[in-house]
Amino acid sequence: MSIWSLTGQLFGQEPVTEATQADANWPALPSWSIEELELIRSGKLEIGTALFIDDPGEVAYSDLFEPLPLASEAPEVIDDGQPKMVKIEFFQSYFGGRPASYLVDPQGLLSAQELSDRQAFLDYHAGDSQIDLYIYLFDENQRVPSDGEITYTFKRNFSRGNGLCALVYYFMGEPERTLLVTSPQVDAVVSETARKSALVYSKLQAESKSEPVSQLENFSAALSIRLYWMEQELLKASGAGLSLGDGGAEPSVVNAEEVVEEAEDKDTKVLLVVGVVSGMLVVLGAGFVWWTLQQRKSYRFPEMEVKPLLGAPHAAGVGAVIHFGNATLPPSVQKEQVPDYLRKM
Amino acid sequence: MKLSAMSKCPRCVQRIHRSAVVCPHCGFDMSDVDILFGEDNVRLAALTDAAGVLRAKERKDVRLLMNEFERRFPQLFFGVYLGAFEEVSHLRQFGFWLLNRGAFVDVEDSRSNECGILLSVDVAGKAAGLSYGYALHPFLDEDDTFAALSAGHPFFLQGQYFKGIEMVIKKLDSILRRRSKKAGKGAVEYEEEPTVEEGAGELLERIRSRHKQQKKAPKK
Repeated sequence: MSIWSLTGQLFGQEPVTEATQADANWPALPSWSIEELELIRSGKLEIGTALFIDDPGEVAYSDLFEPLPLASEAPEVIDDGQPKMVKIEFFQSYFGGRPASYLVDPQGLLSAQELSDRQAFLDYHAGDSQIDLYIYLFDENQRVPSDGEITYTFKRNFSRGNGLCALVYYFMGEPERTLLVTSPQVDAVVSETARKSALVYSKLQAESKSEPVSQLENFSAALSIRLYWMEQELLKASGAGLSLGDGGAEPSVVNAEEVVEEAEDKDTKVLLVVGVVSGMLVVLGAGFVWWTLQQRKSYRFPEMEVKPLLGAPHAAGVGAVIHFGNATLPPSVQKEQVPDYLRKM
Repeated sequence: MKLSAMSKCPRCVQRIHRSAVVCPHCGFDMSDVDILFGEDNVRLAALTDAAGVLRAKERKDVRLLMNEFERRFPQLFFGVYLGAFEEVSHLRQFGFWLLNRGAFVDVEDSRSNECGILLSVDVAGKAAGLSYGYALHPFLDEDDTFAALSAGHPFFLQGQYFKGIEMVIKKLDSILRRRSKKAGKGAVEYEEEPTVEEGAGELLERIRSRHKQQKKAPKK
């Protein structure tokens, strides 16, 4: 007997026959005996209790569930915040020679899509501008070996040939650490201040984003625009007959630190201090002048008619008399108030 | 600040009317001090160290302070008398007498005794007092003179008379500057209060005080 037919009997319905079930093409349901029905009616058997027993019988737990994967024994990497050197296996890719693409990322700091996007942008820039922009990507808090310093890299790999270029060391998430070297021909025309200004502007554009990849995107776009301006200056200079040099001069590095603004801040602070000190001197001077004038000032009293007193022709102003014979008593206690004739008595 | 209609007797220290010819309490008048100290005018310097307690340099410095005081207050002068009195009780009367009978030889003629302030110091009786002329009556009172003497009190205690005199002069200088400014702004405040006829004021006071006593007395 199925549980459904049994339940139906419990609620006064007729039991479903076996032939009806067979006709329905459903799998055979479990059957119940009349004894079980009596037990249920008497309350000695509860429906479904067999489903919640602890022991599933012959089935083992290990058969029911797959074993959990074991924890990896690889040591946890702790970032101590100290700068880390670029691994030696990347040296060749970074500094071995002139890179084949404008974006150098041997460490795979960008995803394939991001790398493709940035490369496409730099390719576009190179096609549109005479100053090619090469960006070397380094990780956050990463340090470049001394052999890979930007000036060495530039002299080794970028000084040959007539093409103008700008080499950038960009640290992901740290646009303020960015370094820039441009071809000596550019340096000859564009002042260091202007180049630094371009780099600082690009850094500020990068810092307007929070995601390192978005920062790189903003940075490269801003620097591309500023390189275009430099290119215009180069064109003006060459049009004016200025010699752009042969490219043999020493490259100069500019960084993105806002030294200029700091200097302005220092100037502002100095001016502030000077202003405050000057103000104080002016106030002190004015105070001194006022004090001097006060000291030199004379005071007059209005003349008034006062009637003579006690027959005195000139003065009858009786002021206080004070004793100073006792050092332990205050002046108020030693004030003389006793009439003379009482004292004489 | 208004000019009070009352003053104090130099002998009994009782309050008397400003127009009183003699003290109604003790009968004091100018003739009493003339009997005590002499009725003739005396010639003396504005700084007289009869007790001989000041060194020569200190005398010079006190003189400079007095000159500075006179420069600041072109109408006034400051006198200092250092003496050793036999009777301590005479100090107040002595100041009163000296400012009336003294002819200060080193004071300009334009500065009469009415405009003088005299500091009398009794080095034997260890007491100091201030007296002032009629011109300063509206601008100084006993509290002011007490404040000035209190400024010099610590130094008088230690026998540093020069320092004590210096502090008294400075304090008075400060007080008088304030008073002068105030008087310049509203001199009318210092004008003498109208008084009733001489003698009538005290009589009225006496009568009114009796009226008040009668009002306070319980009814039978």
